[in-house]
Amino acid sequence: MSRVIVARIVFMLAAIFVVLTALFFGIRLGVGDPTIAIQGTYATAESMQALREALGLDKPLWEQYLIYMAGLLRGDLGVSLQNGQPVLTQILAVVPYTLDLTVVGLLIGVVLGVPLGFVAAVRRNTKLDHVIRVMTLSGVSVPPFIMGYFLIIIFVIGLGLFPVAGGGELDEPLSRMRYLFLPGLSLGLIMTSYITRLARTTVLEILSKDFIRTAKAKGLDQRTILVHHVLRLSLVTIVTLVGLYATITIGSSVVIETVFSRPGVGRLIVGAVAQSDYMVVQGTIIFYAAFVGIVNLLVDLTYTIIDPRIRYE
Amino acid sequence: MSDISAAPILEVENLRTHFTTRAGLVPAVDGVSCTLRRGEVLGVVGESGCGKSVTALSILRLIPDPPGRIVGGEIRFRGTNLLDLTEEQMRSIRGNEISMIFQEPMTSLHPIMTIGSQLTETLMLHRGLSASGAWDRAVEMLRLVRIPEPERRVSEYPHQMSGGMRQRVMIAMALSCDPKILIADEPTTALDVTIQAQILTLMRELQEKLGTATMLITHDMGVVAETAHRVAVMYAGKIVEEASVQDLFAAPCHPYTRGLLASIPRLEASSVAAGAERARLKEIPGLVPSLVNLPRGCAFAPRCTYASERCRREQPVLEAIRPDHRTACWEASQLATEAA
Repeated sequence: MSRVIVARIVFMLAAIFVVLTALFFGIRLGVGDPTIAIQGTYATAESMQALREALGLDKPLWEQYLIYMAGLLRGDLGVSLQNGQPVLTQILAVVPYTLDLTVVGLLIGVVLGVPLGFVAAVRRNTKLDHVIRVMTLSGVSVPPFIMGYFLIIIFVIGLGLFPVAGGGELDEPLSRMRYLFLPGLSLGLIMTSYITRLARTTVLEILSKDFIRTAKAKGLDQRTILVHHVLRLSLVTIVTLVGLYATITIGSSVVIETVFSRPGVGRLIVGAVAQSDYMVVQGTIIFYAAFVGIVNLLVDLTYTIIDPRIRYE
Repeated sequence: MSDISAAPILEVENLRTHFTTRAGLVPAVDGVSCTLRRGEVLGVVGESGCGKSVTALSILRLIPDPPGRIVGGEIRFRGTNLLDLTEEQMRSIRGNEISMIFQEPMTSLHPIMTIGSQLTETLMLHRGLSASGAWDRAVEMLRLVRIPEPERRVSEYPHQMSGGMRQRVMIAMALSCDPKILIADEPTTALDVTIQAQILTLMRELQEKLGTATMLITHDMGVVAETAHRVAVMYAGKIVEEASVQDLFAAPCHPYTRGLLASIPRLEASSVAAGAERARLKEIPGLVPSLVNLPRGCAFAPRCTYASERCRREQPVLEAIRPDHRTACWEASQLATEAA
């Protein structure tokens, strides 16, 4: 098993290397000149050239690449082209906010979605099932930013319960949670809708299997069948989806972060792309790729716990 | 062999189970009456779709509703009508007093639970055994169905076993609470021929040892001949003939039974050796009628060479033609004299 984990980490590093290399050249050939973004309308040919030299952008691409990679091996992600701050510091400053949001969003999604999906499946075609279906269909149809504004209208403008913008102080858990509530709920409600629908389908499929008929023929009651025979098996499918959502969510968190003016990786990378800040974009991409790799590894490891048929040797 | 004149343990009377489908109402079981006696093996035979499995599932009240529903009749187990019981009372009978094994051993076991936990579940529920007591009993049951190395196998998963082994596990599971009745729904159909023989032998030996009254559902007359004491032949949701195995094979009364028996291939040493002209295998002409739109009279009449005007007009009733031999055919006595 540990060999498998090592192999997966090596594979992940290789994937990061490929993505980073493609990005490194792609962004320099495709996106605008950072010197224009920095100096704006006051730029002259001379000042831009001077800045390029200062930032090392005048060197041939391959040389820039080697310098960057050599730095990376030492754990140096370079400095921002915009403000000269170390990229790593910038990323680490916002990563906790993004992880907070992703984890809370998915947690709400699983905690509400799995039981709702079970109830909908067991009470199939009853009023309750129809109500759940309409709610989840609305949930998956509403774009995240609409959900965000909707919650702002209720909880901030209407009830005045929560702060509307910002992320709170990192070292103050209570303030962090207060600021996290609405964005987390926006994401969580959307996740709940997706997970409910998936859980319902999964449970219905499992309930139609031969081994469920066997369980009934053994005299087991509905509760035992659901808890012992259906739940664990349904987790195989649900974990796959949650892993997939985790990677998608972290990539698209910019929408929620923007609505709530929250610091986060999404806003960091969008801002960096807009300003052609190559270094920040590269650093953030490394973080993304590592995150995706780690989530996939966790999902695969979870499979081996849930499903004895799956073994990695 | 068990005493076949023993008292009935299960009496099915005029059972009717209907399904609502888009094509219309399907009377999958339409007035089935049969009796299972203590210690006997009752073979229920018929083509696919004749209602044998639905009869079996109806007895345990496991018909999925919707679309199915038991609309009439009685199922008396030791005198109690199972159709009057609450769902909770019914659960204490399933897997305990009456248990069932299914056709598909590959899919009938839970894929991610160990054999042991699937076996102990029933034992702890119905027998109130402790976890360790149930585990010991599970190992003992696996030994009974002759699974090698039961102590090791008990902690394995179904995917680590072959189809034959899984069916042995199903049998062990079904017999673990010493049921009064075992319903076996085509237990060997999905298995290789050699494995079929092993499983049938095992079932026969266990039946003789434990004396469990067994309802063996099959489409295979050969299986019936080897295993059953009595036979009920089903056609289009009804029993058309019921007799002891010897009687049925020696003197089948219903034309459908005759057709079934004539369609069994036989290896006759003389004809194979001599290369003589081989007799063409007899088939029953025509197809099983759609249950949505059954003929008014006898459902078999359109395929029957002996059908009379009366057969097409009036449904025959199941009547004794000899002691312990019943058939539902207007022409039965006529046919019996012809045969004699």
